[in-house]
Amino acid sequence: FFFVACLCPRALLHGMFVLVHVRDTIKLPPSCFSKDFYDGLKDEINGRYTNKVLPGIGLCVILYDFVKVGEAVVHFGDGAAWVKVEFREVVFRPFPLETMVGKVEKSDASGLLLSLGFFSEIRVPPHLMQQPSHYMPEQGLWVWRTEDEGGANLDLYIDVGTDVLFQVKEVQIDQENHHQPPPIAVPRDTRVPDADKDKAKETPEPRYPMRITASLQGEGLGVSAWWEEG
Amino acid sequence: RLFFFERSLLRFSGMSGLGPGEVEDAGELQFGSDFNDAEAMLLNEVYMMLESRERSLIKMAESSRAEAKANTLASSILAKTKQYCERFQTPNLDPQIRELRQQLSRPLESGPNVGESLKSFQIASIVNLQPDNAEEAKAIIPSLKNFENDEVEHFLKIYRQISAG
Repeated sequence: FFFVACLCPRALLHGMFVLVHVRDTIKLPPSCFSKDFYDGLKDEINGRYTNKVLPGIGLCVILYDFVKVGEAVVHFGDGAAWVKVEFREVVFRPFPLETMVGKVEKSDASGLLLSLGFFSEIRVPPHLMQQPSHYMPEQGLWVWRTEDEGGANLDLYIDVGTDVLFQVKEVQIDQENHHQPPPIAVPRDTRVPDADKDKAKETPEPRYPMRITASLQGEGLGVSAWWEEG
Repeated sequence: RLFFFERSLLRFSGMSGLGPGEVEDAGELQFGSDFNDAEAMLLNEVYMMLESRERSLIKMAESSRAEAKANTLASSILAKTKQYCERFQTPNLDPQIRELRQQLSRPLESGPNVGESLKSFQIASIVNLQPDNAEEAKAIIPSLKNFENDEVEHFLKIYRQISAG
């Protein structure tokens, strides 16, 4: 808990969790048949949805409840049961103007990378830092040059590992989900033709389908110690 | 591994995203025309869900080693989300959550905005942000600007009464 000395969001902040209606057809493999039907269904749904980004929607956390469960239809061939379901899923999906607390995970010339623990694609670009801020390449840290009460220069650093209060500026959630698994590392004793090696290097790092742009600009935002009274 | 969901299999009611020309701005309460009815959750509610899921995962792990392995990643993500909710949720609120939602959803019985009620998102914001007074509430929950200060005070009073238990 920290004290913020003005009309600003207080310590108890939040990220937006919403309930989303989803309709899907779930495949229950025969191995699940021994469990209670709903438990099996719940496990399959959570296994499929938890920690996945729904295109255009947000990050799935957990199944909330069932709205409708159809009959299980067993197909010849794989012996699995296919069940039409409608359920509500808890989804993490923050909105612009929301304020939240995140931990600084990375700091480099492109800005800061913040993390909530369960979600880490939160970036603070240089133009959204407190102004004026600049990057110190030797330490790898961003510093806000401001003034203290006496008018003297005050350099406030943002250390990696500190918690910062940020405001959501923009949330991007891809409508299409093309996230590919990273290329498999080639074992050292395998001889790989040079052409293939270069190709592996060229494959761009897959972009995580949900990204938040955050701002530290504004009263009360940034490192909490900056705003504490005396 | 992230799945590619075929649109034909999944139809999201009420969450189709923004249409052309729609601006997403929590201050104006326009998250895309479909989102307005979205049920926003209190952190306490999410925390409760995750705790019960954790209990059943532990039970499953006890009964099957293979399941335990498969659930390790899931349980670590859930653990982290739970940690976040635990840190920022309103303390001592669980028994009162339903009453809170019910009471805060009741429409105003008089005044310039008679008949209006708080939207789900606004209820969650009041409970999660705990503003001290109407002025602060309107500053940190911009969509409340359409209510009179008295009306916001009325909602805050309900919240205080119920959470005081």
